[in-house]
Amino acid sequence: MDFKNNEAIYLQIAGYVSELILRGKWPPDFKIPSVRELAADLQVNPNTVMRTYELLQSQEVLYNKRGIGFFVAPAAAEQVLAQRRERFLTQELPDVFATMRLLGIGLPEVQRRYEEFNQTQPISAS
Amino acid sequence: MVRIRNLYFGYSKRVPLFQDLSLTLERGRIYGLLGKNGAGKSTLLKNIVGLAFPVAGSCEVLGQPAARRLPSVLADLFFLPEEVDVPTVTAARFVEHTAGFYPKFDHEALARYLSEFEVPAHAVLSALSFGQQKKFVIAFALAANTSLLVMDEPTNGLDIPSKVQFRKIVASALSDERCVIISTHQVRDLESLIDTVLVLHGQRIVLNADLGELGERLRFGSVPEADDTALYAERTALGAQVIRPNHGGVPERVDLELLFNALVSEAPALAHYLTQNQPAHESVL
Amino acid sequence: MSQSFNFVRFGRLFRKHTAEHLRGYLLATAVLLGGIGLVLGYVAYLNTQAMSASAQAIVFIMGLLSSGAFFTSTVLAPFGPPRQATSALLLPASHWEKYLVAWLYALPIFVVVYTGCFYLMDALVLQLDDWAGPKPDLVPLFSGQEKLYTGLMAYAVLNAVFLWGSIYFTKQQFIRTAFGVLLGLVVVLVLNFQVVQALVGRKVESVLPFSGLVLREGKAIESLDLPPGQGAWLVLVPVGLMLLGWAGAYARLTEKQI
Repeated sequence: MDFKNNEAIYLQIAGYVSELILRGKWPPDFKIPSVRELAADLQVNPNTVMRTYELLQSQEVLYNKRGIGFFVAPAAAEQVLAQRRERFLTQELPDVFATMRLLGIGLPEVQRRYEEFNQTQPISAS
Repeated sequence: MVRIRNLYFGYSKRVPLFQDLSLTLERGRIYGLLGKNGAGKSTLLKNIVGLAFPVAGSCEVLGQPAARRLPSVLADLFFLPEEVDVPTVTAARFVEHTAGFYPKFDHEALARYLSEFEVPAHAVLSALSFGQQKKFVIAFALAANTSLLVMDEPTNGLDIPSKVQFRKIVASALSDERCVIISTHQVRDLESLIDTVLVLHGQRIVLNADLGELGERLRFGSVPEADDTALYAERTALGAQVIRPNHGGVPERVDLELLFNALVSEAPALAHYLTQNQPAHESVL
Repeated sequence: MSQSFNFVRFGRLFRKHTAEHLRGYLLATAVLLGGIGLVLGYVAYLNTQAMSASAQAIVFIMGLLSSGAFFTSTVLAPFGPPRQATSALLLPASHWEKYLVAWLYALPIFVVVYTGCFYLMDALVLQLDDWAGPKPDLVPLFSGQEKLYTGLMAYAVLNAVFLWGSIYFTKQQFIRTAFGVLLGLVVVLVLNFQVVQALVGRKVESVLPFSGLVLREGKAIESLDLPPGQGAWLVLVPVGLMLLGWAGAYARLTEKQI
C-alpha cells in the first residue's frame, strides 16, 4: 500500500484493515494475518502494526485470542462504521467547512448537490 | 542492550568526533540512525560493535565493554558494514563453516531470505556482484538471529526490488528479543521500517525518540506562510514547510527529512519544545 | 564456555580458516615444491660432484627462512584492510583463538609442510642427478654435523618478527617488515659500533652486537670475547626477541581498531 503523507502510518493501516472488513473481505471471526506477516507484507515496522491491532482491539473491531492471533469481531463492521462516522464528523467535515467558507459556498448549495448525487448515483458498493 | 555513557572519541585528538555522547538502546526496536555526512554514523556503529575503542567514557553491549570483543558477546551481535567482505567459497560452504559460531542461527530463515533475495546458494561468493554479495550477507546477518544487529547503510548498492525485499525481511525478522540499528542517509528507503529515530549531530545524539510519540507531539505540513506557531519552517517555492506542536490532534506521520533538517539547523524552538515533558527516560537534547 | 579459549570454538575456527584458504595454500605448496626443486636442481647441475650435505643444508635453511618469512607475513594479514578486518575481528571467537590459528599455520604447520616438500624434492633431485659415483645421502634433519635444527630455531625467531609485522602493517606486510628488519639491523650495527667505540675509547676494528670485538694494536690484532661459560647466556637474546614478537603480535591483535 502507499502511505499518504500526513496521517500516522498505524492509522493508515487501521483504515486499510477497516476497509477490508467493511467490504466483507475479512468476515466476522476471520483470523487476520499475524503482526509479523502484515508487517512484512506492508514493509513496515512490526511495532507499527501491533499499534494498529491494539487500536482496533480497543475499538472492538478486532479481538485477540492469546497465543493464536487476532480475529475480526462479530460486530466489527458496525464498529468501523461508527468510527468512520465519528471521524468524518469531527475531522473531515471541519476541513470541508473551512473550504466552503473560503470559496463562499453555502449549505443550501451543498444540500441541493447532495440530493442530486443521491438520485444519480444510487447506493451500490462503495 | 547497548549502553553508551559520556563517550569521547576521535581519530585525532584535535578533532573530536563525539563528545560526552550518551545513548541507550533497547530490545524489540528498530533504530534509524541519521546524521549528516561526516557526522560519524559509521564510527558510532564501530564503537558499538567494538571495532573502535572509546577515548573516554564507556560503551557496553550486553553488559560487557564492547572493546573487549568477548566471544559470548560477538556470538550475539552481528555487524553489517557498508562494504561487505566475502571469502572465495560458495555460499553453502560459508554457511557450513560460519553458522556454528552463532548459537541461535536459523537455517530455515536463511533459505527463505536467500530465495526471496534470489541469491544462488552454490555460487562462489567472491564471484557474485557487489549487490548480490551484500544481499547474501544481509540474509546471513538476519538468519544469525543475534540480539543485536547493526547495519551500516544496508540499502546502499541494492536495486529497487531488493530494497523492497530488504524491508519485508527486516520487518519479519524483528522480535521482542532483538535490537536492530540501521544507519542511513536515504531516509525514504527506511522511513516506515524504523520505529525509533536517532539523530547524530554536533558530536552528540540530539534525538532518540519513538516515531509514534513524535507523531503525537508534532505536526508536519505545508502552509502558504509560516507564522509564529511554527517550531521550524523551511521556505519552499510555494510557501513553507513547517513543524508545529500537535496539541491532541490526530497522530501524524513524521516527516523525517523535515525533522532531520530542523534538528541539524539547531532550531531553538523545536529543541525547547522537545525537551519539555519528554516522555522518554533519557534526555533527548 | 570460556571467554579466552574453548576447544569446540577453536576447532570451528581452524576448520573455517582451512576451508577458506585451502585453495591458496595448496597452490602455495605447489609453488614451494617447484621453487625448491628448481634451486636444488640448479645446484646439482652446477656441481660436478654429488651434492654435499652442507649444500643441501644451505638450501634448506635459506629456503625455510625466505619462504617462511613470506608466508608468515600473510597469516594475520586479514586483520589489515578494514573490510576484511571487520569480519575477521567480529567473528565470535576469542583473540587468543584467532591468534593461535595464525600461529599454528605460520610455525608448526609451515615447518612440517616445508620440511616434507624439501625432502621430497631433495630425494627426487638426488635420484635424477647423473653423478656416476655412489648416490649421496639426504642431509639429516637432526644431526650434530649440519645442525639443520639451528635453522628451525632461527626460523622461530624470524617467524616471531614477521608475525608481528603481519599484524602491525595493514598492507604490503612482507616488504614492510623485511625493510624494517634490515633498517633495524643497520641501525643496531652502527649504533653498537659507535657505542662500543666510545666505551673502549679507541679505534675498534670490528664489532657485532652481542659478540666479541676485534682491536688492532699496531700490527697485532687482538680479539676480546666473553669468558667461555658466559657466552651461553647470549642464547637468551633470540629467545627474548621471539617471545617479544609473539606477545607483541597478540597484543596488537587485541588492540586492533578500524
